Amino acid sequence: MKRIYTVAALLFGMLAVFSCKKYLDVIPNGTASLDDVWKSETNCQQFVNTLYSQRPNKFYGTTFAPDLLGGGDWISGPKGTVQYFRYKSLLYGQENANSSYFQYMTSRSAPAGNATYPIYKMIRYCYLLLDNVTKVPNISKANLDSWRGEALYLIAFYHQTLLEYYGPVVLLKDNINLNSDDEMDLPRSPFDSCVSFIAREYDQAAQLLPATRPTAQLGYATAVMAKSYKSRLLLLAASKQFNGNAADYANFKSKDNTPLMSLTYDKQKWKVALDAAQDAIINAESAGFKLYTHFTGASLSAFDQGEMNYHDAFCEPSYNTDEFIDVNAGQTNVQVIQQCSGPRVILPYNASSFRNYFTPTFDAVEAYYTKNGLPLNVDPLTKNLNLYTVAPGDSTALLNRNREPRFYASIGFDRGKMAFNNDTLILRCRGGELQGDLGNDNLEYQGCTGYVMKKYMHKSCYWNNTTKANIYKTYVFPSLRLAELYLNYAEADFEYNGSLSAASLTYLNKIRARAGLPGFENSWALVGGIPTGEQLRQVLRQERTIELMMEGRRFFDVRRWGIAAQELGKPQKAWNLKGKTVATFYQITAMQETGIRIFEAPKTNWLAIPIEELNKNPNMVQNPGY
Amino acid sequence: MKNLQLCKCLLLLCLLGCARAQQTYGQSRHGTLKGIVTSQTDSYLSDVTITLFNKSGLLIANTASDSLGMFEINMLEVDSSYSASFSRVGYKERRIENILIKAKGNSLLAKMERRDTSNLSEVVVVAYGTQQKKANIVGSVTTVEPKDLVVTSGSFTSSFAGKVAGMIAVQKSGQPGADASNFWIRGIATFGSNTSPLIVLDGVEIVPEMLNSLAPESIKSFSLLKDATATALYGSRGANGVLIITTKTGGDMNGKMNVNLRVQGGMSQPTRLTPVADGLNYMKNYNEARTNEGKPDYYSQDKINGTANNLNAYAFPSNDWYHILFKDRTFNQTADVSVSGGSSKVNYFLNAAVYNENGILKRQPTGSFNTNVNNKKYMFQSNVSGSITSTTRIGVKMNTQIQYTHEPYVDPNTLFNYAQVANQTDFPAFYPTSLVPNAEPGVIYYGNAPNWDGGVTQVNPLANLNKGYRDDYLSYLTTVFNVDQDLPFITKGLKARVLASFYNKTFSDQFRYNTPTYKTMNGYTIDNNGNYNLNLIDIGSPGSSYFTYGVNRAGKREVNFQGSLEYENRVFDKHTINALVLYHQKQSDDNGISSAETDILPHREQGVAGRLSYNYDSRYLLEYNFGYTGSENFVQGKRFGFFPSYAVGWNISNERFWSPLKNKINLLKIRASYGKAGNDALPIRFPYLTTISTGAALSNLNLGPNYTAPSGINLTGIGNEYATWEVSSKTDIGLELGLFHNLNVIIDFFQDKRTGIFMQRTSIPNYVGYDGTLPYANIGAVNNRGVDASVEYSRNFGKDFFLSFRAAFTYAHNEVIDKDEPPLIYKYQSVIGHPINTVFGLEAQGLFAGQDEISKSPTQTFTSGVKPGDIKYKDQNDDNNVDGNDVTAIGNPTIPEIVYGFGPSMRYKGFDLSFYLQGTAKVSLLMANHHPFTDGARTGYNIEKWISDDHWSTTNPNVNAAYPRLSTTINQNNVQSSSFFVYNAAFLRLKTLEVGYTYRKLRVFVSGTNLLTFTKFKYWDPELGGVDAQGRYGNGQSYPLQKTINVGVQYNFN
Repeated sequence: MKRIYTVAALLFGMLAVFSCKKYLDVIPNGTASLDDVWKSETNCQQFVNTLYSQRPNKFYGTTFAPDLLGGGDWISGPKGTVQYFRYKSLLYGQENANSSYFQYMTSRSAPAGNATYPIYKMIRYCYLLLDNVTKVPNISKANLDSWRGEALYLIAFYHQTLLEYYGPVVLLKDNINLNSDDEMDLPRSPFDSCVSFIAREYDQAAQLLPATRPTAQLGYATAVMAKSYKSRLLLLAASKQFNGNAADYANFKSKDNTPLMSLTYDKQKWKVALDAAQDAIINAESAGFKLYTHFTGASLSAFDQGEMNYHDAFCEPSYNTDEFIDVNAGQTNVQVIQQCSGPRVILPYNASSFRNYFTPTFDAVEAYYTKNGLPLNVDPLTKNLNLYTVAPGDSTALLNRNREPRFYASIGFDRGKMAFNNDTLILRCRGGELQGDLGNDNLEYQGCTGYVMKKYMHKSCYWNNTTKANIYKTYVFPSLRLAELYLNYAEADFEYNGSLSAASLTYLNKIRARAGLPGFENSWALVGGIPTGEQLRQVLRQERTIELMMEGRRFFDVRRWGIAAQELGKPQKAWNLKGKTVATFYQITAMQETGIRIFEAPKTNWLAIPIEELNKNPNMVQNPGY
Repeated sequence: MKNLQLCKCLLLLCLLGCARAQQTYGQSRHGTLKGIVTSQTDSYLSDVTITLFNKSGLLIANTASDSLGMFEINMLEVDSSYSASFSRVGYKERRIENILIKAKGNSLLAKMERRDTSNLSEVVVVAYGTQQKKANIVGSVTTVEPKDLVVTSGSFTSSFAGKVAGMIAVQKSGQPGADASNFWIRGIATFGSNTSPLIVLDGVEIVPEMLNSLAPESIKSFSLLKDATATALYGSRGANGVLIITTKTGGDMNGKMNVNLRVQGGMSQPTRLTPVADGLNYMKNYNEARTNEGKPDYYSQDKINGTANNLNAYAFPSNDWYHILFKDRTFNQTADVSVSGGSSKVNYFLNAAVYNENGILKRQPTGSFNTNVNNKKYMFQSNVSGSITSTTRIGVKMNTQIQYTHEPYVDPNTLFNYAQVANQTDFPAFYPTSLVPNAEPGVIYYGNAPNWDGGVTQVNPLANLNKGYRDDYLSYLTTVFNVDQDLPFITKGLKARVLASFYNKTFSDQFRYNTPTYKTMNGYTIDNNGNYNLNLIDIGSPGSSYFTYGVNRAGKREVNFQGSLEYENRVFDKHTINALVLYHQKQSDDNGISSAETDILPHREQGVAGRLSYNYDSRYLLEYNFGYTGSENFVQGKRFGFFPSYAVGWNISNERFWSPLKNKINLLKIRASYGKAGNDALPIRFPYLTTISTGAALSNLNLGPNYTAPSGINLTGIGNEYATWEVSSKTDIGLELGLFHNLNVIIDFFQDKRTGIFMQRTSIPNYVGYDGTLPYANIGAVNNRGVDASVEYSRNFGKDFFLSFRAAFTYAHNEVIDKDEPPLIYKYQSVIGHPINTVFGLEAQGLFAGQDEISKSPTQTFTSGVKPGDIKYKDQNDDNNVDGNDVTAIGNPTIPEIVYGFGPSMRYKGFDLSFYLQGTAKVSLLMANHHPFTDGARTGYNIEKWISDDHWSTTNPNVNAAYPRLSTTINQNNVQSSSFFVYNAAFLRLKTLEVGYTYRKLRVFVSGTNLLTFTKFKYWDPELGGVDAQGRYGNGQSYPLQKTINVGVQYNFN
């Protein structure tokens, strides 16, 4: 009997288990799925936040994007490999289809250190939002409009970002059905189609977005941002490099022989750009944007007031809502730039202190006007001098004397003054000096030109040698500011009309007046009046370069002007950094480089389409030169 | 030759020695029976079970013969007669009747005859613990004698390579506690996420690490289930093969006990190292690289001369990092004791083993703690079973493994890498406090050069070694409880079995580390006496004298339940039937501290399995198996899969017509099987869900005056409701051959077709917007084919000399049949048609001799500015551009396709000698990250000696140099994966060598492993291979494999 019980127990046990039908019902109820996004405004707001998250960070010190240090106006010292200072890949011929340090179109592990921004993924998210936002229960009209506007704005913004880096791109006009092969073979759209698509998206966004945001929401898209980026876009589209450039792009066609760039110059594009700039300016000004000025009550000369206005625009207000239309407010970026650029204030060498490492180039130094508001080679004050010499009895080169306020606001030089630690620091940049070369090439954080960046350094910065802490100023970087719109207008005006209208002069003079310079006409009156034609074009470009110096704009400006190879491929100058005396320091030498400068045009104007993308899509074509 | 009665037996009996009768006061007189068992060819037979019965047939004693064939049974009644039975697998059972025990005892010699059909009555453990007679097996199962897997290190799995037919195994590290081999049954047949076989210990699924620490002494049987017949029962988990290990149990030894003791100590040292250039050559080469880049010399002639003349050890250092960190050899100890015994009611087997293994790092006098690696392992096996009734038996088997590991805070592999790459001349290992002004007591001032990139100081290997330590505790515990119930009252041969098992892994890691204090020399002065005064300055952040503390916790637990009914080998006339039906379920949970839902939710499996086998007269064999298993990981309705298998076999040698040949070809069997198994391990959980992650702060959006980073929502996975397991269709044709009763050959030809391999789509263009979250799908297919074979031979020559020989061979060649690939790639770029781990890269054509050649050659696009001395590549698609589209298969797979081994074992009187050679073939090695001076991120790296000795330079413009032109930065053209850096990693090595001497029950031995290696690849031990799957270590820069020499004693008594 005992056995039978045992058997019965065993069989019963087995049956009991067999009956556990639900055993495999392990359901991850706590795992959120896409449907949860549309269940409340709170969730949806978070999803909207995400839409912003893949804008390439252009201000991080070692640069996720090549704009800041790769534009020829600002550069890091010779130490530091491409893996960390990715912009160098563009200066030293390392960008190619096999490996790009800027992976905005594909993501893969190689090369090590690449910056990855899955931009198209964010565009897909934007469409996901547009397709589903109405599902959110009881959504307010304000949120509905704003979120749709933000999605449209970001669709435009992301496409524009791709267009700026890659040229004509595949336009993602709606989300693609994964189960359809045909839709996955989209070709690149011609440049002009890209531009008009993006412009249209900006227009639609502007209709839905508020003009400005309340303080707590600063950072979200506005109608002014949409209009302003559209102005930037249309200026790019009208520029020489991309408007009828048959020399570079005659053979740049899609697989079905559609030319991807218009090969005939269309002057009308400047009119479109002019109108867009005008529209943006009107929108911005009526929303309250104006050039930043900083009056402390102290009576200052126009020159000094201008220097203060310009310098403080960047680092005095914690959020410059006067002038900055779109910003990068990541404080890590703000700190890294201050740490990397600030003057070395402690010896022995200490890498955690200010590093003296990102320095303005000679191209930047020489671009600034004289105090009369004229180029160095035009102003009678300077044009006949050897600016690389030191005047008898003086302590610094003639190049650093008699310059405009923005020069002194932005550039620190040997024996020049710099506000630091709420005091005045006299910079000493010669060999062996505190801000100079340390005589040991192994020390990474040393500059390569003999200058110091002042533009983003606030007077309150200092190094606490007790706590070994760098004290920074918090503020926001301008991604797009009002002055750029004024300059866009003037450039488009000149290119379309061949001369500067009164409106252009007004806008240029707003910029000059803020910076303590004489009016454009007044300055040029000293040398026989405003130049014309090509000379005026060069002047306007210089005007723009100076105003937007070290803001990452020159990277794109030299490209669209078609002068990238000439500007970025040429040998770079530096003072003789090892020189310890006036006589030895103030000699022009070749700037020490990490690699060998190679800038192939038109190739390096754009990034390479990654080889994987070419292989995945039969309709994809490579950029010229790669 | 005294006892005539025994002559009647079929056995030859003879007196071997004297036995004493013993008399104890007040009790009956006792005598001893001693004996020796040999085969017909006079070789000693160990492991023969000797069972002694008294006149009335009661079992009196049960024992086994030792390695010299000897046995001894005490406490027998004098003047009584007994009968003895001798049994051993592969031999006919012998009975000796009427053994009369005299006052002086008795001795006998038993000769045993091999079974006609070779070792076909041997039983083999197959799926779910069932034992099948080898003769009737139609599946492909490799069994290995546990003694052949005894190794001299604590790594059990390192014995697999070349010894187990059907197993591909490679060892990738020699670090104590981390030296397990990677192994695959019949190679790799999938590029899915799981390539490992299922490992089952006494019915419990265990992880390879646990297998690695199993004491070989505790293993009774070791079976490798290779084809579908054997694995289909495991359903969706059997695709990669199954390894079944059963531990020993005690026997009915009439209350007696058998004790086995092994103690050994040994020495180990690296098999091979990669020398680096000395300081002078390094500086010379670095300057040469600078010259190549048009830059001035970096190391001045003063610095070079000063170093050459050893002017001052701190101003002109030249460090031998390897010998600062590592010693030449280290010592290890092992002890193992096992006890078994039992009676007819209860029996037991106990095993305890302890391993103490040390690393080759030096204990630093400068540090305050032991910096060497130490791994202590304690392993226990405790098996007890007892009969409750005459038909009911219950048993408990427990395996406990406890490991304590002490190691440097910085991973020893990393330290080894640092010692290889660190700069020797820029700074000394440390500055003595006498040289440091205001030195704080107790602080070590390590040397360093200021700054790599990113503000991090250079790597000082010594500072890293002394940074701290890590103490790990790892325990594995398995407990199996089973009840076996015979059901003869229902029908004869029917058994029910219930098994519950528990598995627990606990891992706890605690580490303490501090930050080293660094100094660098910023010039020096020499005083009048010629003394150097160094100007030492601080660099980096100041170090800490205290230790920072951290912990990690991990673990896993598993509960498994099985219930089965088996109808066992019921014989009806000539028909034999065996049937099994089994239910199983398993749940495993994470013991870690993760709070992610996917880690908290249990993993569950559930299923039924069954077997039906039939044979007719042991001639015609048929078998059908199935597994029907389900997993919680799939969407409802798609959880269960059915995996059947079919097999047939024919024992030709059992046919009547074969009898004339039987003496020469004693065994000939052919068998064939076909069936399916699954692989349900996926890289993601709940693949049907489109998941999002919430709450992560976004870095690119900062709102308002406080720059607040709001949180966002990201899509983390794109669901695929159709996701399911991959399916393996296995075909196997086997041939078993026995010749002259002493040579056995088994050959299996196999094919494993995998379909539905779960992979992330790779053909979707980026603009579709799935970057980083590409959907998964069951797309891939792989065909894996090959052959595995084993040969065994044993023979006695005369009375004193015994020789055996074993060989195993495995060849597994897979080809990818289908994989989601970009549609436009060139045929030569496709992995389809190539093995899974094939090396891909550019085809190098030597080095460019001159500018002319560069101009005439296709443009190499990896960098603008190719120069003479750079690697020249073949333009595969003739588009006059060398780019990523010219990448093609450039070698064999990095996992060997052939693993083989062979070796003899011989004995002359008390002396024994055995050795085993093991090798691999059809394997490539891709060298990566062996570039001098920089790894791309850091500069200031060293240069390896072979590169220093033979690279292209203006003075050595050799287009066939071992390394291209030097550069101080990464030259993208020269660091591409290419055939320039692909080497043949085949090797043959003397894997084991053992010499022993046995005196009675004591054996003394000396053994060695990895003593000699023959290979074309000279830079490091080729078994380490190139870059590992994670792109690090291996590659000659990880902890080297060890050669060991051990001395030990073994003692067996009962």
